[in-house]
Amino acid sequence: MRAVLASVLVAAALTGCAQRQGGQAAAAATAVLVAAQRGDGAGACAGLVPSAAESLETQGRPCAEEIVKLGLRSGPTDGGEVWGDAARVRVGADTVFLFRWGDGWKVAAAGCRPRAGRPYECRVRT
Amino acid sequence: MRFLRDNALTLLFLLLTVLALAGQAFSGLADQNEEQAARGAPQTTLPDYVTSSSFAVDVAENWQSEYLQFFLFILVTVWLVQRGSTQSKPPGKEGAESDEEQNVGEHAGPDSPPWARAGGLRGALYSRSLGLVMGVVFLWSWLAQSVAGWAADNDRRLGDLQDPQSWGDYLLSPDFWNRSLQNWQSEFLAVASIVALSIYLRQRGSPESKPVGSPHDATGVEG
Repeated sequence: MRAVLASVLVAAALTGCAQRQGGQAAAAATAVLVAAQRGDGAGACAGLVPSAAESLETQGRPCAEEIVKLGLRSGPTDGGEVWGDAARVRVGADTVFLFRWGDGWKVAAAGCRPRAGRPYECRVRT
Repeated sequence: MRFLRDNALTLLFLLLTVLALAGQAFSGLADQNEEQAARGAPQTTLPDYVTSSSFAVDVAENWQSEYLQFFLFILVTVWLVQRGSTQSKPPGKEGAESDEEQNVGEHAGPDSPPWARAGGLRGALYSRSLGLVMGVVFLWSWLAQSVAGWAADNDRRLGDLQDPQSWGDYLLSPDFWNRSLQNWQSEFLAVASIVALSIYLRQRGSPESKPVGSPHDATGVEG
């Protein structure tokens, strides 16, 4: 009985922890999309992991110029789903993937749409 | 001092377990931080690493296979023999054996454990307690492997821009069975090796070996 109670308490604690972390990931995803939507490219790129920001730097143009051209849109989120050091957040019709980055989260891929049997297709990705 | 001498075998292996776990934690952390550095990510701390699903699944997958090995070996050696092996009863003694041979119930001696004398449910339970505990620890650690492996695999899937999957789907996944079977094959080979090699090879002074001069077909003899 004690083992069952302990398992329930651990599960409840983990669920609460996952929900809180999901909320933090969702906030980080929303911040990038809101910045991109209002034309704040530097603000949006600051929320990307370095390799995702570098992937936008084509032909010598900086990330801040490119990210605002992608048509990324913010919207209501699903609260986020966290597994270890990675998270997925649904934002409006799109999906955002994030990595844990120090004490917070950074966006690894944004503007993603599912593909049957394959990884998501993303406008921003590492 | 007497305590240390009387329990040296258990204490040594417990100490080696702790040292190996610590070594696994530090080397696993270094490995993970090399990968983090390659993608410019912040370094993981030791407390974060030892509480991560990837560390937990690596520990649990090895534990379950070890306890499965002992569980099966304890159970199977009741019924199957290997002529000449130190790990086997002599041929002809297959089975649970009589109460007299096992010193249980009315055949229990003055120093026998109380539950061996008790008979009934307590006697039946005690007569199977070694296999039961090994089996329960195997199931518990295999369950732990499945949960930790599920979490670690979903972490990887999100990193690969894929949706996470349910625990049920993970139980049918190649990752779960690859982790399980790659450990099981080595455990089964190790058991087959000690059973067969102890027929022909000797280790002077070890109870896992026959006395050096014992004939190859002597079974269940310990040095």
